[in-house]
Amino acid sequence: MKLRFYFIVVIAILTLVVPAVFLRGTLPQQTATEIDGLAQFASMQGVSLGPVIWRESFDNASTWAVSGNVPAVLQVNNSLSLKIVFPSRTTAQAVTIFHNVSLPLDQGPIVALTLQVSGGVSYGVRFWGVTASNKPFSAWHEGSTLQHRPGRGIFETVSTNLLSESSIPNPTLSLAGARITRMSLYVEAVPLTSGTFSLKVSSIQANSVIMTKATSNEVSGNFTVLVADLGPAIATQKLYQVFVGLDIKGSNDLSYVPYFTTGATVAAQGYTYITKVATTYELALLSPLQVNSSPLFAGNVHSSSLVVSAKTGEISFFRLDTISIRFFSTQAPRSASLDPTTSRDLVFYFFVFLFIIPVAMVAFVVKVFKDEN
Amino acid sequence: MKTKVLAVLLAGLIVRLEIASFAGHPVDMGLFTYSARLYYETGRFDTLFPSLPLVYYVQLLFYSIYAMIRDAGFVDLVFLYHPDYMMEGLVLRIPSILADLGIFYLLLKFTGKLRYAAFYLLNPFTIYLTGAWGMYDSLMMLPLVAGFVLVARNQMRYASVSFAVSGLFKLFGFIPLGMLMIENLFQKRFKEFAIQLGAASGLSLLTLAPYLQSGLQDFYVGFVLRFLGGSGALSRSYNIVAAFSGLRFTGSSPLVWLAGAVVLVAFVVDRRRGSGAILKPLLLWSIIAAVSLDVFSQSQPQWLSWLIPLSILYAFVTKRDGLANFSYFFGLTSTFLSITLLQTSTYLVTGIPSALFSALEGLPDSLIVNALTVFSMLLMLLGYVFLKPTKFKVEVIALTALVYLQAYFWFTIMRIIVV
Repeated sequence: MKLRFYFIVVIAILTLVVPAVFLRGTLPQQTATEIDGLAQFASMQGVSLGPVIWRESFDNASTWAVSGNVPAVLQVNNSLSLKIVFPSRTTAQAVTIFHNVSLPLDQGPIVALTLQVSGGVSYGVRFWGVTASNKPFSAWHEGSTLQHRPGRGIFETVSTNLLSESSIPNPTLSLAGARITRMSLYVEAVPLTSGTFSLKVSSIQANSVIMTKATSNEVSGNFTVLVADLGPAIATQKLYQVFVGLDIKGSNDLSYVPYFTTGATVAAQGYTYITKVATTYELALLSPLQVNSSPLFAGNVHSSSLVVSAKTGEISFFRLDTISIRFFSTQAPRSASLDPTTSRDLVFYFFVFLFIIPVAMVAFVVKVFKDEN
Repeated sequence: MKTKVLAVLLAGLIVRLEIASFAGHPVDMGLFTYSARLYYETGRFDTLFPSLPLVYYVQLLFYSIYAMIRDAGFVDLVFLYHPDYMMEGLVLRIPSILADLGIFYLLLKFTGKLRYAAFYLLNPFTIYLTGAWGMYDSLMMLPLVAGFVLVARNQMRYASVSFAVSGLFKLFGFIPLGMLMIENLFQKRFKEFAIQLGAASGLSLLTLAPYLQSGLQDFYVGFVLRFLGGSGALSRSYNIVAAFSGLRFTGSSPLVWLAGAVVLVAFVVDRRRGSGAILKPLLLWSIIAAVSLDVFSQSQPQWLSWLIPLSILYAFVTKRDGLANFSYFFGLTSTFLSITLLQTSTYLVTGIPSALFSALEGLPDSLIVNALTVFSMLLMLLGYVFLKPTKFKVEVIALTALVYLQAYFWFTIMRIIVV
């Protein structure tokens, strides 16, 4: 009896093992694929912040202009303070302050603002500029992390790369010789929000950037961001995952986020990683589902890039060992969205099998079969 | 009796097959589907499979059936927004469904009580994990339960192998094995200890060998460090500590090592004080270890299911009927919490999250409500384990509802803590 059982088990396993071995790689569909991201690796560059090229002194209130149809008081005295009283309205409300600047894009300026905005309202920062031929352009876009940020009631630092902010909404515009000429900060409230809110800005400054180029897959120095150019832009519609094997060293407080970008678009993002005691090697997983921020420096507009951005601390050594880029053809979402009634019906159907039948059956077992257990 | 067993078995099987045919966790099923397709479409063995290797091997074996029917011209259908095909998703879950049936059989055979076996097979949480989600925890639990049954029969060597196999599906299986090995060391049964160590190491090496082809660095970082809580990624945790503090741990919370050490020391102290059969303390401290993991580690919601068969076995061994009844309520409530607070009711059904019942789903700080309610149930479970055997009373349901409603009021309405 025992032998027959083992015999059946062995036969059952063999009937699964044999096709698993012989059918390997035979399905004609190509829905799950993987490519080596280093196959067309072009170059790597380490990026760090250079000297300050402009700093707002907050000593002249007349250089700031307030716009909006709600009461607001602006004070400029070594810092900027804007007090706003939003009355209760059924429409959204906003107050904007403008300031003229002159920041050449050739220097790739990084602007950092330290500010505090009350909770309950949102805020954002926008820039405008002119090209070398004095043609005006907008250097902001909806969907950027600079827009519609929730006020948190605490001081926070918001940094942005003006070159990226300019090139995303103007991909075909020549930005050589262009400069940013105007910036604005706005505070906005959704309908029916009322009360007194404030915006405080303690510093605004722009730094130039210092680039260190390397043609090999490793680079040493002190960097805030590493950008590896992986060659011509890869179509990312079916991008599923990117696995990156990297060797990284840096300051004790180093934490970093890896991004996979195509042009200025972040196609996949990883977790925040910290360095380990056990090894300097990390196998990072990046996924399109995790994209919730963008790095200060993106790669070449016409390339796919791996960007490793330090969140805290500095990177002193970086080597890119492997990149596996995975594509997965899943079904395209249906054009017509699922209506709530169908969803509700399906969920009720699901609940019948998940809760009602099992619980009823158990009640039956406990009550009716009780005596025979 | 046979008819009644068959009725329960069929009910358990039908609900799983029915749900598995259309539902699934889009992210997890996507991961499993990708790795299986990579092997059968391109011939590449996925050394970056997101779980332990044995899960991949089992899925590949069963996927061969699907590959055959696809080769024969079968056209599969996609249901709404799911990444996998309907039959494909079902085939990937066959091993887990069979494991659930195996656990039902073992519990029935060991306890002789259909009610206890039904508490597992018809538990909404095990149905939810295997049938709806597509999780493979039952693959780990089958050899785990088999291990305890073999311990009861004093077949320690087979039990050790069974625990090792369980640990190769999910590392938790190595905990009872570790305790058995410690027991052998203290009893100076060095030969048995060496056999256990050899069997566990041999099986581990055998299953991990194909993964070494991707290089030792990837193996060390992607497997050893990740599964032992040494990953560099700051990922989400569902436990009560993380829920309240907003902390994100790299892999596991450092507290889990402390909790693990406390469990092992307590087991040793327990064994030195009493010299009875090992089954009871082995079950007891395995339950405590599972609770510790749910409190201090990443505490993935599916880990709660490990407590269901362990509690049923412990209830039978110690004649704590209330504990077995509580395990059913525990699973029922865990399913409700997981669906409403962690996923939304439509997520596994349609493939996209949407809060149909706005009073229950999509709540701010729902992680805290979940963590607090789960924590209260874990405490109640410990009460059933440690205190005098008592019946399962309706007050327990009321108490749990009270904790849930209090947490709901303070953390989602009053929002006294914003994480």
